[in-house]
Amino acid sequence: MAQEASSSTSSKTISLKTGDGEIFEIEASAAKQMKTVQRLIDDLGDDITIPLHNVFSKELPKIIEYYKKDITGEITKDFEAEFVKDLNDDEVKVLFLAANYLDANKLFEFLSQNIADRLESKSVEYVRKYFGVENDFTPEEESKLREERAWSFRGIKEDE
Amino acid sequence: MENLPSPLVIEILSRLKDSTDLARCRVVSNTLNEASYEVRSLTLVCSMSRYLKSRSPETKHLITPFKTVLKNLVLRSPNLESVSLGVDRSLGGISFDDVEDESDDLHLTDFNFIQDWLPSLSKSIKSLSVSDFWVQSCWRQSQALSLISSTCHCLVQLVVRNAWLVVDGLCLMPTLTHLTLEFVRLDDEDLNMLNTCFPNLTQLNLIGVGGLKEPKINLPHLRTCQWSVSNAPLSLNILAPSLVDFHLKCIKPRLLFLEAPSLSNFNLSLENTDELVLKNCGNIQCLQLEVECFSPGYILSMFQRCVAVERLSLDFVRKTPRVVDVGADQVREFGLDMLLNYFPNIRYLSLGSEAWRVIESSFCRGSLKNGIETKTLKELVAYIVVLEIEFTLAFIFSVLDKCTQLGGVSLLIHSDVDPRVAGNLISACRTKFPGVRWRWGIWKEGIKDTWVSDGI
Repeated sequence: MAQEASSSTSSKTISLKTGDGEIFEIEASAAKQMKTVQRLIDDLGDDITIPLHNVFSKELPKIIEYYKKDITGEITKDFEAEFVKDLNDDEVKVLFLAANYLDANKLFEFLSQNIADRLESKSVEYVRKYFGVENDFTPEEESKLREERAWSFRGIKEDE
Repeated sequence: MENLPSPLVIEILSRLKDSTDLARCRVVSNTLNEASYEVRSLTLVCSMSRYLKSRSPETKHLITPFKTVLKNLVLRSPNLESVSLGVDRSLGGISFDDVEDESDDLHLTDFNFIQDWLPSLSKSIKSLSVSDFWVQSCWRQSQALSLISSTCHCLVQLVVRNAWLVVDGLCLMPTLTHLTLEFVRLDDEDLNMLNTCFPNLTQLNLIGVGGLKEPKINLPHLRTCQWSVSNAPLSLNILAPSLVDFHLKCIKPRLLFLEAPSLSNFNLSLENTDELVLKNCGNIQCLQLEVECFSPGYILSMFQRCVAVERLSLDFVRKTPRVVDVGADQVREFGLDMLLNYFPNIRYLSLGSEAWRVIESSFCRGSLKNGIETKTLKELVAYIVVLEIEFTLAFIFSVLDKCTQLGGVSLLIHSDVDPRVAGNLISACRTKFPGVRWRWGIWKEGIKDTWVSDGI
């Protein structure tokens, strides 16, 4: 369901289709900031709906919101703080993966820093769950490592 | 729940502000453990609470020594490009009386300590920052500079705070472009070794660097410099052909010599000097001056050849506390005429409260009567204290009469001024000169300026 591109060249929009079949519109200048999208436009043309198999309708609107502000040069620390304020750690992770897939550098940098900040003083178990990794140390290895790093286990936050 | 691939994990781990979190991540799993060693930067700060715990008899056996922690973190991360270690700024407040021991567990510029871990990073490290613990470092001479210069072959940025550094054995560091020394005693009297061994510096910050006698900065690629120096050096010499931005704060050197043909922004704060020589400084466009109020004439006259100055900020420093008396003034005559004579091409003028007071009293005693118009000044900003509203109004009006192109006037009135007086002043100005773009605000020492209104 490709939409007609608007007639004025300065406000050209691109249609994006998410992995779950929904269509969203973004400005061509915002699309430029997402290198993956731009590459697809270069290959397929800008009149066709660009398919994004790995991005879904839950996160794409948020990403579009970010880049709408970016092209008008309005991204401030306050905006960024508001942007992530109500997102839980998993929602940020999903956005982060999407930004990585879309090769959207500015958003990627911002979200990596945000995740790093969220992990501050969190426990080992929390980080395990967050990154989705299995504990592949033997009990002996783990206790040895913990002992060597005893100094880093003070002041940990309670898991939420 | 999607797993994050290793490169993404590294991106996140690289941004952890405190390497304590990074160390803990190593216990999470083998994958994270390996990923953590790819991390490019390391930051470790000794907080006040950690320091206190290491001193208190109940907890000190639980605290792993800071130096041990750092060494362990570094030795397993061979790709580190940036290392920042130090004590929290709050530890700067600890005095000798509080400290009973002579330990060196936080003497971070100690040669032997640095030798234990820095050589392993010699090929990768680009940025190093060490904020030492003053109580332990100020009486221990450190050979750290010679070690850093002989080991780090691609260091680009170096920051050292709160240390006593000698320059014996200092080697050439051609890759170093950024150097910051803050509260450091540097045994390089005339900065000879600094100039010789760091010839490619583009940015130099010397804040509270002691041990200098007749320092000369002679750096061909220097573009930005910030120098804040005590009254100990006899003379200050700066020869920097590429210098664009210079911020100098000194007290009363006997000689101040500056040759900087590319200098565009100059911020100078000094009480006085016996000899000020500005050679080839004709490109200065933006000048900020803070000088002692008793003899501004000599210093300002030295800037006469700087005809490119378009923006000028001027303030006077009173050594004695401000006394509210308009009459008995030991300040010599200094009026707006004199100022515009020295700087005929300025478009923007900002006057601090003392400068305004001096120029205003000079007006009240009869200067500015020659009525010659000035067409270049377009914008005026001033910090004022209204002592006698009649005088202030008369002065403002005569300035506007003289500077016919003055379209924007921004006045910040001191917060102690009676609001009714301020209100009368504002409405009188708006009424008499409605075509001027007026801006009003409030100022007070030590507090951020507040603007009350923009435009008319």
